[in-house]
Amino acid sequence: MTRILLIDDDAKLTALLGDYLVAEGFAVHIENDGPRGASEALAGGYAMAVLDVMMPQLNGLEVLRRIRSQSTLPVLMLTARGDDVDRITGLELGADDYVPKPCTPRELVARIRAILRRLQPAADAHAGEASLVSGGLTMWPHQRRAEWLGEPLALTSTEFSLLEVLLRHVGRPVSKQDLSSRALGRPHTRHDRSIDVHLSSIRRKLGNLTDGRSIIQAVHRQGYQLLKE
Amino acid sequence: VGRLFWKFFAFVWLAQFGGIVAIGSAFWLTQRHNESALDIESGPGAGMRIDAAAGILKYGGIDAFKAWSEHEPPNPVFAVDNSGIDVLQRPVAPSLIVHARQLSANEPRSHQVTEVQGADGHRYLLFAAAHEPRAGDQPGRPPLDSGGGAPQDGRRQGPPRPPGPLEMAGPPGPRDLFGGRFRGLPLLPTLSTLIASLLTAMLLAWYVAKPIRSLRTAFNGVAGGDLGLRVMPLIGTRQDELADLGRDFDRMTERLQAAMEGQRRLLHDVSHEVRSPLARLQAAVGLLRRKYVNEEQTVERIEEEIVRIDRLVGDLLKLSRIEAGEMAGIEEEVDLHELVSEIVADANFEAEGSGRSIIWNNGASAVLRGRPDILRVAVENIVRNALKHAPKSRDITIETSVDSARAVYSIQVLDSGPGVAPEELAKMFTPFFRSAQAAGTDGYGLGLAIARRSIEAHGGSIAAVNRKEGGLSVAIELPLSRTAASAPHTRPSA
Repeated sequence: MTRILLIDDDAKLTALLGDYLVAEGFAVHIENDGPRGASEALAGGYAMAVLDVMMPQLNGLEVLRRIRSQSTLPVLMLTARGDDVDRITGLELGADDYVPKPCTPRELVARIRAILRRLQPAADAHAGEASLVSGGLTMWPHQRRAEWLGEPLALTSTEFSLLEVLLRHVGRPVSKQDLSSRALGRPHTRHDRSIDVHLSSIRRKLGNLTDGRSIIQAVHRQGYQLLKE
Repeated sequence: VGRLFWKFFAFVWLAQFGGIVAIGSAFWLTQRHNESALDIESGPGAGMRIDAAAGILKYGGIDAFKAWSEHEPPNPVFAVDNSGIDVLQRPVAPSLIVHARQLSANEPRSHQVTEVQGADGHRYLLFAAAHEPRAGDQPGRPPLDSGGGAPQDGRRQGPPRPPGPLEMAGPPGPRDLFGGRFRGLPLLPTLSTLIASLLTAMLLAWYVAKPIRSLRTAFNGVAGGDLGLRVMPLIGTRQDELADLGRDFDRMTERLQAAMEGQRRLLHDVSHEVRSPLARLQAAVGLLRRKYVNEEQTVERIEEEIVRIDRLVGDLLKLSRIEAGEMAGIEEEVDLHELVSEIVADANFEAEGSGRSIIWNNGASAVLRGRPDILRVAVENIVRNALKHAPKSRDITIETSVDSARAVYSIQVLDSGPGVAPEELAKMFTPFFRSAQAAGTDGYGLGLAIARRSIEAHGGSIAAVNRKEGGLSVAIELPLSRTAASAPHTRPSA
């Protein structure tokens, strides 16, 4: 059974959401404060964490930083609706996706499922291939492992999925719509900056090519492209 | 450079120019007068007249000298004694006497000055003043002015005039002040003074106009929404009314900024506080939809959340009403003793449920003018707060007293709870503050904020301290007679 860690200071809300998630077939563990949530997340055994950004004591972003310093556990953030700063900061810190709060439990479950789906071994269509290679980048989708110039790359699951989509289409631009539906598991909406934030984070991890350009290029009105060498 | 600068510059410079002209001409006139008064007649005729006068004074005495003098021409021979007084009491310019003495000392044989012992035994200094009108106006007499240059000639050509008001203690006689050319009017000093006055006028105008322009820029910036703008860095370290204005402006924007920031934070907090119950409502509705749960229980939860949102909105309205100062006109006499006793009775009823009680150490009674409903909410909120945070089976103590010297009624609410972290003591009366210890408790942190606003609206103060013996002490002080100055929403008295 998929184990989900729910970190939110609102005990009543977590109880309700917990009930809902249990009914949807997840195993749920609830923590109502940041420090305990962070240590519980690092203790392992969870498929993913749902983390509220607005928490007293230890802010959700700080909890995320703690988790990311040691783990690539998928994290879904609950952000206040309209608070772009929190959302973008969270994505930059390595959150896999966000859901604005208040949200319907159905929406939350859909996001959780989208992230979990990405974690499943790639579709059977690609079952045969062991690795994808282009230039210095090598990815093993089955093992969710990537190397850049022979060095292992620490990517969050969302970053991994995005890079995988780009690598499968290497040398061709991929639209944000495609990136969103394939990698995030949801349609792209206007003003949604998630993809850009995730990609800039991947670029940071990959560094620049010898000519100073990034290997991932934005193509005007067409999306993003992984350069072919 | 704005219009103010030019206006200021024009006024200042005109004033300076006028001043320079006035002072300059006064100086010029005085100088001319002194120059003429200093002249001692030096012609050969003077020597003869002085010799004659000396003889008359020496042998004929003062009366003879006086008789002789009456027939003398307008530039008489003076006979001055040691104390500088003319023997005939005629006015003599002091500078003339000084000049004569110098002459007598330097050139004892000069025919312009003679010293003689009069018939009365006193020594007299004799000399003739070379006053106009000169020889040119007096036909038959040769020019006495041996050193007569062109300027003096010019003077001579003018028509005679009566003495002007600027004339000093000199011998009487018609004068010609303006008829001639402006003798001795210095061109270079005049020009340099003019330029200096231009520069100082410019400097002064700039000095006044510049901070005003800075202020204007700042006002425009603030009007454009940039409340972070400060004008003092532009004005610098001046110490005058304009700098004070700048400082006042900065203080105003600072307070505005703080108020705006407070409003923004409040709005942020309110949206968060409203969203929390909404998130729970949505979760509960989601559960109901999927029929995952006990319907009855979930509907109860939904109702709870609705009540909670309603209470939050009600409290927010209360807070904003008190803040907006909707106090005037509906004040009445409030018996504080009665007010507290009602609250204690209510709180006791509530506390009994958890086996606690309220102890009231009643000091005295007092009456003040105010809003009983608002005051009641304030005290009630503090007592409720104490009940909520004090551990079960401990009592709450309320102490009331009147400080007749300061005309203050004070209420102290003491609990034996965990107290509040020292750094949180000041913050606990701000809206939506919740202490770290109280994270799990119900409520949204408006009660104490409402209490503070209510007390402050009555001119009072509220403060919290941790008790030495453990627990929190909240002290309210209410002034019994409120002056206009202490009420926060009235205009400050001048």
